[in-house]
Formats: sequence, C-alpha cells, structure tokens
Amino acid sequence: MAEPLAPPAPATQPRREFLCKFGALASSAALVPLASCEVSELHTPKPAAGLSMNFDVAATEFKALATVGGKAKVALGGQDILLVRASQAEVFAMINACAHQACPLDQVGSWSEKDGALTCGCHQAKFAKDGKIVSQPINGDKITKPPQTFKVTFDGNKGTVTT
Amino acid sequence: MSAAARLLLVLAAVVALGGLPSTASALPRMTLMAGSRCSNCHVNPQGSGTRTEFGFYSMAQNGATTWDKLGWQAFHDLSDNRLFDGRLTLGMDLRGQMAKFGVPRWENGVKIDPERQVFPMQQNLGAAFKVAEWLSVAATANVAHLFKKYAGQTPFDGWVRIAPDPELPSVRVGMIQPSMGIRHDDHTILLRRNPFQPALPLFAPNWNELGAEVSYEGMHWLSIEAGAFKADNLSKSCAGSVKADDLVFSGRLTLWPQSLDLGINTWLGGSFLKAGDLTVMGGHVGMGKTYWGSLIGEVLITKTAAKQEVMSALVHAAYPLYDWLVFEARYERSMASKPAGTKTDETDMTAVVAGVQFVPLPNVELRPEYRLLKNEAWTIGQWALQLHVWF
Repeated sequence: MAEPLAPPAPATQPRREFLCKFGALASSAALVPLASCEVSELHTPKPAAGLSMNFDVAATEFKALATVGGKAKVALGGQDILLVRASQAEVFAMINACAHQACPLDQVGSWSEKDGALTCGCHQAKFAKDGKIVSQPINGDKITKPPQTFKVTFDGNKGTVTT
Repeated sequence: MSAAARLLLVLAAVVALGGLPSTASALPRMTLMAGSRCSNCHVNPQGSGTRTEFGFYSMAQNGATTWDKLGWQAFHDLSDNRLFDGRLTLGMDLRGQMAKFGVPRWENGVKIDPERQVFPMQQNLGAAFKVAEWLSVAATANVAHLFKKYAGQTPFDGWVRIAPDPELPSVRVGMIQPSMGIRHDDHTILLRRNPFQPALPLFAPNWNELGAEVSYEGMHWLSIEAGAFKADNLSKSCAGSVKADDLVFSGRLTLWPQSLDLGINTWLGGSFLKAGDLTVMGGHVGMGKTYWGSLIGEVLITKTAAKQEVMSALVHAAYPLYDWLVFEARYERSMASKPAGTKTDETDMTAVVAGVQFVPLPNVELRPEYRLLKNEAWTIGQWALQLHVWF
C-alpha cells in the first residue's frame, strides 16, 4: 500500500484573503455570462397536425400490435407516436415521450389491460389511454400536463392514426 | 449563538434546499491528486461517503478562509470525526442543487422548455464502528431518498467488513455497490446512462445490492474486487434486461503505477459486470501529478436485451489552482444502437461539463457548472449550481 502524502501547508493569510474575495467576485460575475449562454433547441420541425397514417398488424413493423400490450412506434408529422394495443378491440396512440422526463415509451412503457394504464419504466408514472395521469412518478416529481394523445380508428386488424 | 446552534442553522439551510436524485458524487480525481487509495480517506473502500480520520483531517483546514477568521473557533478546532477512542467514525454529506431538469420537447405544437428547480441531491448521514482491528461495520442513510429518487436507487448502504490484515483480501457483506469502472455516483454522468432513454440511468447513483465482495489491496500497485449480489435494484433501472431474481456478478482489476519521486500517480484497469441479459465491460485509465492536476478516461460497453448496444466514453480533466479552487471539465459521448424490424435504430449523445469546485470555508463547497447536452433531437445548455456541506 502506498503511503499517503501529507496534506499541503495552508496558504499565507494575505493571499488567502485576497483570493477569497477575488474568487467570490469572479464566481458571481461568471454566472452572468453563463446564464446568457443557456441553450434550448429542438432539431426536429414543429409537428404538423391533420396528418394520417394507416397501419396493419399483419405488417412486420406493426406485428407487435397483434397481441394486447404490444407497442409500435411511428413517425408522423415530425413526431414519434406510440401505438399500444390496449385490448382485443382497441389501439390507442400517444406521444412517444413520457410527460415526466421524456423517456421513450416504446422502450420503457408497459401496458396493463387490467389496470388500464401505461407505466413508464423510468419513474413509474402511469397514464390512461386518454392521457389522463393515473399515478405520479415515484421520484417525487409532479406531472402537471398529461401526454398528448391522438385519434385512432381500429377494426381489429387495420387502423389509422391521425395527428 | 453557540457553535452547535450555528452548525444546526447551516445544516437546516442546506436541508431546506429541498431534494432530488441523490448523488454521493465520488471524486475519483482525488486519488490521482493525493497519490493515495480511496480507502485511505473513506470508510468505503470504493470511495465517497464517510471519511476516515485521515480523510477528515486532510480536508479540515481546506478553504479560501477558515472558520476561526469568522469567529467560529469551535468549528476550526474540529480535527477528528471519531469518538470512543477512534472506534466510532461519523460522517455527513448534504448536497443541494439548482438546475434544469428534463429536455426541450414539442407538445401540442408548442415548444416546452425544462424548468429550473432547486432540490436536495442527498442528505447522507453515515457511521462506521470498529468492533475489532479486523472487523468493522458501516452504514449510510440518505434522507433525501424520501423525497425523490431514481429507479434502482437505494436509500442506504451498509456492510460488515472483515479485514484480517492489510496485505490480505478483505470481505464486505451487506448492501454494496458492485465494483464496476470508476465510481462517480453523479446523476449527470452520461457514461452510466442509455442515450435511448437518457432520463433513466442504467446504473442509478447510489445503486446498491445485497451481496458480498472480496477486495484485495495488499500490493501498492494492484487492486482487485470481485463480488456476487442480488439484482433487486438493478432490475428496476434495467427492466427488460435484468430480473429481480437474477444475480449480479462483478469484477474489477486496477494497476496503480506510481512514482513518489516525481509525484506521478496513475491507474489503469478493466471491469466486468453480468446480470441476466445485461453485460458490461469497462476500461479506465487515470494520470495525475500530486497537487497539480489529473486526467481520467473511461470507456463502458453495455449490451442489453434485444441486442441493444451502448458504447460510452468519458474524458475528465481537473486542475487545482489551490486546494480550495479546482477547475474541472469533462467530455462524454454515448452511442447506442438497437435492431428495429429490418433496420437499426441509432442515437448519439454528447455531454460537455465545465465548472469550478470552490471551497470558501472548510467542509463547504460551491460548484457552479455549465452543462451542454445534445443529441439528434435537441440541445440543452444550462448553468447549474451545487452546494455541498460535509463532515
């Protein structure tokens, strides 16, 4: 085991006092330009409304929807939309980003037909098929805005989702 | 006002900052700048948390000014964190943070920006008791866990440690974080996340599992850890790849070449973790010059269920202008891929963080940081401020 080295000798008092004051001033001043450097950008275009897409559970990309609880992701109007087979007769659609911290629901979401809720695996927030918040995240955060949902028609095999 | 009352006031102010994701925020650079192992300064041989006598003493007078200059002589005179002839060691870590949480997104055609929040990262109280020279027990409880937590994060750790001789292997049994790569315990670290789901760390900060780990630090140039654990908590952050009844197997080997004459400290190692369908392989390297600076690199390759692969890399540099004023910056990149039908989905995320660890008074740290995080869908850059009070 290597011998630990001794801690350094304390700095001399005048230098310490000067640097303390200088450091406090510089730290405060640094926050001003840092605040103006804040960035928040979206690289995807604003989602378009009124667009439709057909899906067929017989198709490879939608075969997961053949069983209750199955999920599929579609890109429509510049946004990712999650399709979930809620029951034998119903598919619902919501934005593929948890309303809490935007976890991708096609990856971490799980639908329970019994509970009538989609659970986000990130922090266990739960949403009904109409987007209603069933349970808040377990980490103590509070979701105030429910996830966006989309109109779906479904005949048991084929359907249409509309933004 | 008495010193104790003043201390309580300071602590109350920190606690009042409110709380979120607990992070112990281990500082791996310390080994490279101090030339000693984590276990020299921390009760936990992995680092972070309750300090040993040496760890407490070495930071007790580190600050831009000292408590006695403010008339708080009682704080200044504290030179030991032990009681009962050194058998009982006490520790405390309180951290609060002001930062934006989340990422920008479209919602009903409107751009939604994340809001700035003030929250407690952790409120840790720890203790270690030396039953005999070869037997000790230690535990840490995180009160902030009551308010907010990550999936897979645990509110406490604790273990019994049997260490018959410094030159022989030691064994820890209890709630322990399996040794893998470098322990950061920082929720902002990209390295332990999956860029497909950035809000959910694959390995939560303060992640611990019930199990046992054997550690060997008998030679100054080598350390080895190997452990077996339950997977209850990992199954929450890696749902789909790890089940609660799986077992976690982990191992890490690190070489510690060191030149005391030149003050050069280095480490170089690799690690492995396997649990259910999750496989993690890592490499870590670090070089530092005592009291001068450090450079750390780490790579983690993670394979999860459904052939999903994540490859992440980190480079971290730190330069202490003084012991109480350390400039640091890190660059991280994480690339992931997964099969999606006949195609392969890919994503690429980059994080850049630059900040200062400013210790105005011993055991009090302010850490202003600028954080830039971006992927194909969004870019977010923000300043954040952490307050850390420890004992």
